[in-house]
Amino acid sequence: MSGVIRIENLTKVYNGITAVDSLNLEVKKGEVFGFLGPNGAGKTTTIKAMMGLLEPTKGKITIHDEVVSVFSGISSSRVGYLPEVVDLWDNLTGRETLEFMCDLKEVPRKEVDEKLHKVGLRDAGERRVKGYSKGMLQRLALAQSVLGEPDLLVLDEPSAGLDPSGTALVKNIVREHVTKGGTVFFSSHILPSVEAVAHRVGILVDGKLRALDSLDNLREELQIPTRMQLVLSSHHDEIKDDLKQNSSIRSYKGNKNMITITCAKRDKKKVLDLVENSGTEIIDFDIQEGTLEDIFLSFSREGGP
Amino acid sequence: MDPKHKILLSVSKKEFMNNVRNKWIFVLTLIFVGSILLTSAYGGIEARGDAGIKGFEFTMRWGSSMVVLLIPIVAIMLGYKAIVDEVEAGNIGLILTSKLDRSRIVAAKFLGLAAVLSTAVVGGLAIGGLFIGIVSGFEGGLDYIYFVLFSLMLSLAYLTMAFTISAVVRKKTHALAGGIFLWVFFNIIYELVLFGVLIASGWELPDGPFTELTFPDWFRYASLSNPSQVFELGVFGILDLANLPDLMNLPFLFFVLFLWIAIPLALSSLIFKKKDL
Ligand SMILES: Nc1ncnc2c1ncn2[C@@H]1O[C@H](COP(=O)(O)OP(=O)(O)OP(=O)(O)O)[C@@H](O)[C@H]1O
Ligand SMILES: [Mg+2]
Repeated sequence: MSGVIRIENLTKVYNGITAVDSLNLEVKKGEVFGFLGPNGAGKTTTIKAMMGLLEPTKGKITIHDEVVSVFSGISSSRVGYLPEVVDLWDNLTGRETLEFMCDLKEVPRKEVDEKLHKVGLRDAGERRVKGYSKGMLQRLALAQSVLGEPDLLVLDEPSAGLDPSGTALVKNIVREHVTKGGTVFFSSHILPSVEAVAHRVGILVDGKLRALDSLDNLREELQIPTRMQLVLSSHHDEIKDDLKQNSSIRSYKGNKNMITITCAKRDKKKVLDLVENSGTEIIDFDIQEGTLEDIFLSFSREGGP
Repeated sequence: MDPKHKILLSVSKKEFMNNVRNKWIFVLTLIFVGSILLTSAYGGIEARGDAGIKGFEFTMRWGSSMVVLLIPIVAIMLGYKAIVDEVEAGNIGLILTSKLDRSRIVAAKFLGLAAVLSTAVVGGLAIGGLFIGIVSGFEGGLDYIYFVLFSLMLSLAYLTMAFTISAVVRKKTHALAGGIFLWVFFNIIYELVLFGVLIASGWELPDGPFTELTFPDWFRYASLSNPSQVFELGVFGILDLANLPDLMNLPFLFFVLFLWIAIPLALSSLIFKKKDL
């Protein structure tokens, strides 16, 4: 499999502020790549450089084996792009907007109906964009990004401003796109939606790539703990000392007959056995696996993990 | 047709249709019809004493001072947001997913807006001219055609200068401020400064009618670096109103205005090409 996107040593400095710092990244054909990071991490800057909208201070980006530059742009209509901020054209209707984008991308206009329908704007298609709500605008922008079934979809915060059905729509679009053999690169703050669709994630903090892996591997690697809440048949004081000494248990908090323990995912069973064997009974329990949110937060914190 | 040109034209067409839809093109055309007829009917009324549509020569003589102020305003209004608007709105990222590169986008925008401006200027002045011709006869009609051509060139020059501003700034409000400055600079400041220098150089206002004034050649040449003054020189040339240096015949002045269109347009393209969007 060849790399659809190749970012080599990308650095972007805006008047003294380093927005992206020596970023290396490769996204392969058929992959859904989630690009995460706190506000100001440099996600949009990276995406804009990928789209030929800004000149890297250093480094090189290739998309479909073509080097991206501000002079030639991406120069291929095989890329669909949803910018972070896009107001579209006030006095065009939704339909006209898509028709115009069809002309730009050399795609037959007959796709327009289907795309309007897909994003739930069939009834608003004849209305001017001027009167669209934030979410409707985002849906229309999303629709234009998939015109002509591009090979690569680049979406900068596709779920911004969308209601739950809109978020589901984004997921569907992404899934459908990869099913057809396409590649998706998207940035997002809505973590559950990233979790649901991304094969791999990259976490950018202060312009540097802090993690790059599948979610499963990241959980493992970062030892993002599993959290267990147990309700016991007796007061926790009885077993407190036993448990605190055990090396599998990373943290322990007790309150009357309830305890909250964190441990590595693979130690779950061991810890439960330990509690049972210490002479108390587990009446109820609740287990939470480390979420992307935990991973994300652990990187966003000063210094990282 | 090269597919890139087809895409380019669809951008131009959108720009043009935009101004058809919001009726600007009609409003501007009417403004030009109205103002040329008004100057024909009421221009220089103290000198002639009566109102009523006059012939072409008269209309051009009094109309030119109106046209020279009005046209830049219209052109700047059309052009100042041309590029910065798409950048500020983030639409430029979408346009760039096409095969168009940045200089073609500038060209496309220019073609679209130039078509709007040409329709308004040529259409407006032609409709007005037709009316004048029917009422007062078509004598001097050819001169009037030159006058319309010079007006068109003036409008395009201001359009491309507004484009340059639009390519430089990051905010629409800054572009507007730049556009206003552009107008004030070429229509007030530049001429004042030039006259100041002229007076300082010892030139004195002689008696006698305005048309017989002679200015030193350097003063005329310095006027070439102001498109509004080039237009005025053009009108002088058409009406044979002033003693211009030999070199300053109509084709020459026309060519200078052409440079005033081409250079800012090329500059816009160059600036826009390197810009972070
Ligand atoms: N045009 C610009 N001029 C100067 N600095 C900029 C510019 N654009 C971005 N920056 C800076 O670059 C850094 C990265 O910004 P960027 O927009 O790429 O972040 P982001 O990860 O997309 O954030 P968010 O999640 O808020 O969208 C920030 O510090 C920002 O202030
Ligand atoms: Mg961003």
